[in-house]
Amino acid sequence: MTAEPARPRRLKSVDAIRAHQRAWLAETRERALRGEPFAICNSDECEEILTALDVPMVVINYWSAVIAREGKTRHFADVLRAHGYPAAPSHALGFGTTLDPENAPWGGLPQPAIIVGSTRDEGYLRVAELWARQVGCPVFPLDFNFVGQFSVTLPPDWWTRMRDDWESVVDPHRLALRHEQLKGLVAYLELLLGRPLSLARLREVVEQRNRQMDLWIEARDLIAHARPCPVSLRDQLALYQVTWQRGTETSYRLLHDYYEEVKALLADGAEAAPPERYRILMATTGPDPAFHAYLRERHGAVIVTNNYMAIAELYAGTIHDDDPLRLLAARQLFLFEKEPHWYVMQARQWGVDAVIGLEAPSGYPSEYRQVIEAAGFPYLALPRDADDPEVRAMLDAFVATRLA
Amino acid sequence: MSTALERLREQYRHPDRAARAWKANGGKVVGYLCDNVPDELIGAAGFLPVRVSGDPATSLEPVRRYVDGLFQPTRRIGFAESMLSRLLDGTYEYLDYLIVPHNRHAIQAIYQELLRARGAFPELKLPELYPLDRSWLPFYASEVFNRDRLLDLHRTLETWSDRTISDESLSEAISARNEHRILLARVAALRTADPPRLSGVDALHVFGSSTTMPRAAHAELLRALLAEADTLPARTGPRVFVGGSPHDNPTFYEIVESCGATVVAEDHCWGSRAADWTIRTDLPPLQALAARFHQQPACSIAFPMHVTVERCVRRAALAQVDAAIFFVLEHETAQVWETPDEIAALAERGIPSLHLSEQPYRMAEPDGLRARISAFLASAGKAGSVSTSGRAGELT
Repeated sequence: MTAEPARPRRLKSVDAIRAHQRAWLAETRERALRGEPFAICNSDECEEILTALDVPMVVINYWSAVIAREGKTRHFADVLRAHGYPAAPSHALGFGTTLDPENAPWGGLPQPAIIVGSTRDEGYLRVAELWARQVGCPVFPLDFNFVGQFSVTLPPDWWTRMRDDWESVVDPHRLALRHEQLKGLVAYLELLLGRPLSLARLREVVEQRNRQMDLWIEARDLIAHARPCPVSLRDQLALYQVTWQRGTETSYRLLHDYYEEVKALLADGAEAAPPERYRILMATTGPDPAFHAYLRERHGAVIVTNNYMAIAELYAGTIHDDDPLRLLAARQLFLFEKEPHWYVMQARQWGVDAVIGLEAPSGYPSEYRQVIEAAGFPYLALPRDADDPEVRAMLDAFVATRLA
Repeated sequence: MSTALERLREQYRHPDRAARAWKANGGKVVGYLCDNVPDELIGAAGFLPVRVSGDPATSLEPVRRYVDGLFQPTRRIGFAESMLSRLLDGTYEYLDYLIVPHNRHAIQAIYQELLRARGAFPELKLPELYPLDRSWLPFYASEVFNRDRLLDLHRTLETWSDRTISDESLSEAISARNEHRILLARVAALRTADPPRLSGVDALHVFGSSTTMPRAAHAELLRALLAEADTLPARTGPRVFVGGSPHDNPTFYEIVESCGATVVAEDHCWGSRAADWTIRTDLPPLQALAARFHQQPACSIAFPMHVTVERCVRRAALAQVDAAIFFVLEHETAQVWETPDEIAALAERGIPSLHLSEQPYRMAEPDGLRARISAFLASAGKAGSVSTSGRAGELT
């Protein structure tokens, strides 16, 4: 047990991002009240297009996270159920706020000019349709989504192909269709907004997005190589919010402030960070797990990263044939797959002592365990990321038998 | 007792018999998931098309052993998990090929799940797999995409059979299937007649058996059944419509009909939809097949949503039902969002509904459900009354 109960600091630059998000929504509401368009869409779909058209947008997943952070998940799940809808999944919570707008966090979202839905799964498009009907705006449907790999079998080093060789990780037929559908979306938006999308502007947004991701990668690498880890997982995850407005000057500036603060922290020396006996990769795309404080304070084991910190390389992409829309279509069809070789890459990148994943107990060794342990990293499969006696006992046993 | 009906029941209870006989005669069998894979094309290539079904009694141990460890935790709807398990446990060892369509997420995922399982466990005996992609949207670009995917399947079937599928053979297969669908529609009319002459349970047997045996032989049984229709006993009691999740087994229908009702119509992919979607004969056969492939929804998912709602309501209205029961499985993601609209639309027509949400695929203790349905049917005379209930909490 470590004698050091120190908790990780909060970065000023990350607090600034948190404050910016709220101020941005207030400003967007003001703009919407003045008659300017506002859009709602699924994550990782058409943010760059809307940015290039100067249409502020809220990503449904982000809005669900805000609802959760404000402690209103249960309330809006009950609202959905009371209207005959399922209480889950979380992407429907935003629709729930339209059924009870008085209790929506932050005063609720402005009136959207459009909701862009997709068939991420069979429920996503339906939620978008119902949401649009409830608030009285059009819905534009798109096929497929980045979690929808169907026919493509990924090569084991797929993440290395995302920047330049992105055609090799998407189905060519789906890419062609999505490309066509995005052209249709652009034409629809141009008519709706009464202004054209400029190729030069879209190219600029995509290239600015790439610069943003490259800066994020630089900051991430500084953190990954520092001992002990100078930035908490919580702050690293809060940084993710700037990815929803990818390719804007504001997002780049906020990220640049973060990068500079990380450099300054490292210049101050490692003593500014809580000590770490063990470094852990949490191989999930979830929040900072509830048991992290216990793990850190009881065992000095720090979760230094999770999958979101490996995602900057996946967003960035090179425009081919001067067609940024086709690149965006490809990214919308595939962003990442939660598979163990990617986790091994991250474990090496961060120099962790162990990997923790979430698995449904099956009684059989998973491929995750086999691949990760074969690469030399102890692996713990937890059934959930809660902080409860069973999870604590599993963590205690893992540290005692595999790390100590 | 109708001899034809008994034979159809037997085929439903033993769906592998016809396929095994086909194999014994040197034929090959192509399995497929869901109701929108064009079985006419499979038949024209000389294969026996067999639709894969789940079974609530199936052990899920093969899924735990061969698949769960390959993917992050996921919640699969019961019938999809059961189908996956049966494809792994050898139930379908007689399949030479398997076509997995891009329908609901849990269905399309079976393609990668089986592919990865075969890679990790070479001892598994699995059929050759084929992913049949499909756009779910109704627009022009989607129709072109869907046509091209059907043409890909056409080429693949020709490769598998090592022979050309001529337009003539495809036209013959389409004509035969159209006639088969007309016969299925006539059988469905026995249920919607007043009084009904066929139970919902038997109708599930008739429709389900049509997907596991040579279609021509099934059509012969339908003709025999129709010839005996006058001898079928008239049924009394409330006329019930079933909406919500698919029923690949008769358990729920048996519960409803044990309450004295008759399920005269439904809106799911194992029911009377088997009689729908006849193919145009005024087009070149591949074009006609492609048009149908594009128009027939994947897992009831049509855009915009009101199309799905209107289809559902029309089925109930045409069957002149007294009441509707929406049975929605736990982990349902497809038929769950339109259900409130469907209930409201039926209420406007004076048809009361019972909304059973988050229902288990394996109904271990049906007595509580039976009591709830009995109570609902007893009160169903109160037009427009809606009762909703689920395991997650009672709602009215």
